[in-house]
Amino acid sequence: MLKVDKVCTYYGKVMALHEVSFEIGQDEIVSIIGANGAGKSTLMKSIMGTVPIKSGSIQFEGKEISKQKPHVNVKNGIVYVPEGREIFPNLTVKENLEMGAFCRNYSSKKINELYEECYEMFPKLKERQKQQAGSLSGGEQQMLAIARGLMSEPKLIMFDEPSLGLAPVIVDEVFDIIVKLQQAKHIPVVLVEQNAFMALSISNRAYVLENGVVSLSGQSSELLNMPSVKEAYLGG
Amino acid sequence: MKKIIALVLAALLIIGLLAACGGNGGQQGGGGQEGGGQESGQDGGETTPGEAAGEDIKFAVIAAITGNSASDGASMKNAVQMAVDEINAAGGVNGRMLVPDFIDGGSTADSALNVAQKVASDGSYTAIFGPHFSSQILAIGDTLSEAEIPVITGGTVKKVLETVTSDWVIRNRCPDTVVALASAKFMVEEMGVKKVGIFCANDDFGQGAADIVKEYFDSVGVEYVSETFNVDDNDVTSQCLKLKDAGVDSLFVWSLGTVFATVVRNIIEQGLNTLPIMASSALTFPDIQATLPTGWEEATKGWYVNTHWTTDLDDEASKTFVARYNELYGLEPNMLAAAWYSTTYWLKDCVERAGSTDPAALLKAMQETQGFETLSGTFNYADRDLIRQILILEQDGTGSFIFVQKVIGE
Amino acid sequence: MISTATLVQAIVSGIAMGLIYSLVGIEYTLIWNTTGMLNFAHGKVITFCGYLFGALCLKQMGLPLVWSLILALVLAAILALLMSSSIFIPLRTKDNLCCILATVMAGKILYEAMRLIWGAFNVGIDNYFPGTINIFGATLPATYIYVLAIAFVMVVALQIFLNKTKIGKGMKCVSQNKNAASLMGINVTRYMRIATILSFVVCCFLSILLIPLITLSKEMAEMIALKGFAAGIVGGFGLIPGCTVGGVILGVVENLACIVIPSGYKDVVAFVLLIGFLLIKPSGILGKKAK
Repeated sequence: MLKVDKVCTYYGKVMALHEVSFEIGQDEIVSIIGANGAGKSTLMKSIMGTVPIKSGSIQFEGKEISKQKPHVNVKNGIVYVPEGREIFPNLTVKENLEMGAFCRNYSSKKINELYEECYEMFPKLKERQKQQAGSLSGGEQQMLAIARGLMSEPKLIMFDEPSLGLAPVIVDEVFDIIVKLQQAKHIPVVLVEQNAFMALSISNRAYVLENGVVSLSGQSSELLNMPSVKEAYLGG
Repeated sequence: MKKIIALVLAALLIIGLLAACGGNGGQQGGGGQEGGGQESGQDGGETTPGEAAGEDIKFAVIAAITGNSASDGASMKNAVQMAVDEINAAGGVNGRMLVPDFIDGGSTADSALNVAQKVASDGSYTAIFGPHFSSQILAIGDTLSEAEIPVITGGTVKKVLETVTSDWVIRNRCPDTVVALASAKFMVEEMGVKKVGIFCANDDFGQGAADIVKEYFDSVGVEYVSETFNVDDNDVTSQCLKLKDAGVDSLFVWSLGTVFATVVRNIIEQGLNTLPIMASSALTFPDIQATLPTGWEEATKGWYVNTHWTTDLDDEASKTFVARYNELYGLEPNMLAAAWYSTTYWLKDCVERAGSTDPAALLKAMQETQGFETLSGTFNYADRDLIRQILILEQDGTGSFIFVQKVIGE
Repeated sequence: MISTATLVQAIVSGIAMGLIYSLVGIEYTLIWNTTGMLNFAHGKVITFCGYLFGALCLKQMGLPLVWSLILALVLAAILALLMSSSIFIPLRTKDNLCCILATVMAGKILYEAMRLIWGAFNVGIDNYFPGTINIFGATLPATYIYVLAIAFVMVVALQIFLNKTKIGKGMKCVSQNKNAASLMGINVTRYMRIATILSFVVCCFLSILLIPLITLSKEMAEMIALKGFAAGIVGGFGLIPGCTVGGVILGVVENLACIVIPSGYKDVVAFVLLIGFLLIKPSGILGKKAK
């Protein structure tokens, strides 16, 4: 579905990604783990087109997308739930959801259906539909960001550090939701996480990024038990 | 893509700079022919510009090309250019061609300051025309006189000759001490006013006149209420209402430029236009009249104006001037244009009488000016003033101005 | 002695001019919100639109009022595309000084263009809002009422546009969070162009409202543009409803103030309010205190 091939990305003169390759198929969760500053978010932004790549190729559904702008990628069905949520603080919860479907021209019937689906998956959001999004708690904002991402019926969804800044109980909830929605929608999910344990627990395959280079990759269950991974990322 | 945009942006900036500069110095008038005319022999003045046989006579013209008085600046420029072209076509001044250098002095004292130094230190000018406005000559008159060449200004406010004391600075329009005083006298003696609404711009021009008339009204015991407005005001309705509330029986309106039209419009809207009104010359300017509301002729019927010259004067010289100006510029000239047109011809006369463009000789010839006929009256030099007479006219309801009185100051 | 006429005139014309200040505030806020740049040329843009509408369409081409309006709006939109493509979009990531210089220069170019195309003489345009009207004994030019009504309709229409239409909502998103907006599928640069076009359309309407009130001259909108900045800050910088509130308050206060202070100082009122708010409550009347 998505194939990233030997991508190099620079921030100014600094090389943030060096020949990074990964791929994801139709119905799986792939996680990308690594320390702070390893290049995980850069990789996401390179795929989305927010940051331009220097060399390499990115293919989605067989087509080259490495030169496309973010809004085009969104229209083509790639949704990115960014690091830090990035919801619209001065819009209500419902309005945020509405903006999620902006790139599609849904009839009001269809969009109401989508709202209902979303409220079923996230009952808390239904309660707070008319509330200003900026006043929600961290966990609720994350739920909102995820729900918003689903409103455009994406073909691929990428999560960037969804557990960041959330209490452990909420983190559990969030990952629960991610698993549920992948099973319900059968779409590929890319999960970028610092919380390696959670990420490896729910994903099928994983890649480890170190200083902009893919140092390890394989089945998540294998990586979970690898001593080097355990030491570096799972607290010994 | 970004490169293309950057190039377009750079191109736009360059065009903009060129356009801005084009409004300033660049214009040269008349043909620059090397005439074969002999220069009458003169000793001295090796450093005088253009003294060699047949060389052009270059003079600076500081006009308000931009700003609130841009229409007045345009009148000045058009008039000088027209006179220069006529003079050059007829063989120039003793065979030498006049070459005016138009410089944008803007409409305020600040903008004049920007060009003062450059003009004063140029060294190639025979004389400087302008700046026309009192506030501007007050600001840069001293700087300009450092050039030690004649400076002709239209600044009529009393302060001008008091502050700028150099003999090089000469005035080509009747000073306000005569005009404002004559107008005030006329209001009391002929219009029989008892409580005047003094409505002047709060620049040097407006306040200079206001001070003079207030002094006069005090001396004869006539009451007055004073309101002011800024030269860039868009609306003076509240001032009009204050005057109405104060129960004035007449108005003394004094201003130039764009705001004059605003003042007239508001006066009409508030119904004050039927009071006896004495206005400054701007009412006679065709370019200002074009911006007055439709039906202004009827609405300002009976208003008196003080001015040197209007298009209604029916002497031959005026009629020819109006026709030619209209043909060239598609608009009838105003008093300002008449004044500067005549001043250009007067410059020619002075150079001929001086026999050269040597500054000292030229100044002497200027100071000896007696009986030089111009469109707006006779130039008789006295204490740095060329003319001390003014006309009072009445608007007859059709946009024409009828002669009422000619006042000659002492 | 203050007559009712004076009071009525002060308030009615105050609201009319106030709504004009509001619209000025709105037009620059539209660009500020979506691009983060202040259009320092906006006064010249308004004046230029006035010349396009009045001098070119009405006078030189002799078109009837409505056609002149339509043509002027189209030309204003073209100008918007030119300016956004050459200035607002390429320079939005550069530092502020760059942006300020660029818009100031653009203003100078517009000014010179006006001078070169239409000459130095002011243009007289017949008032297309003629007549007078009598309110509580005050005879006011009908122009004020037309201006008041049209400006009010425009403010309301803009509010509806920004809050209820898809494009309007998209613009709101771009102004709140550009990153997130692009992730919603919004082409941010396209929306910056749209915002600029909308801003210049407002400028065009402003010039149409101003021409009957003021003579059409190259300096026509200078002071009004400055007061529009003040209106935006007084009401709440960056907030569209704030501009409306700030503008009307400014318009009425400066008129009422002139009943007691000399009218020559009217312009000072706007700047006293501006400085006062910057010192005491910089977020303006409707603005929330920065956390």
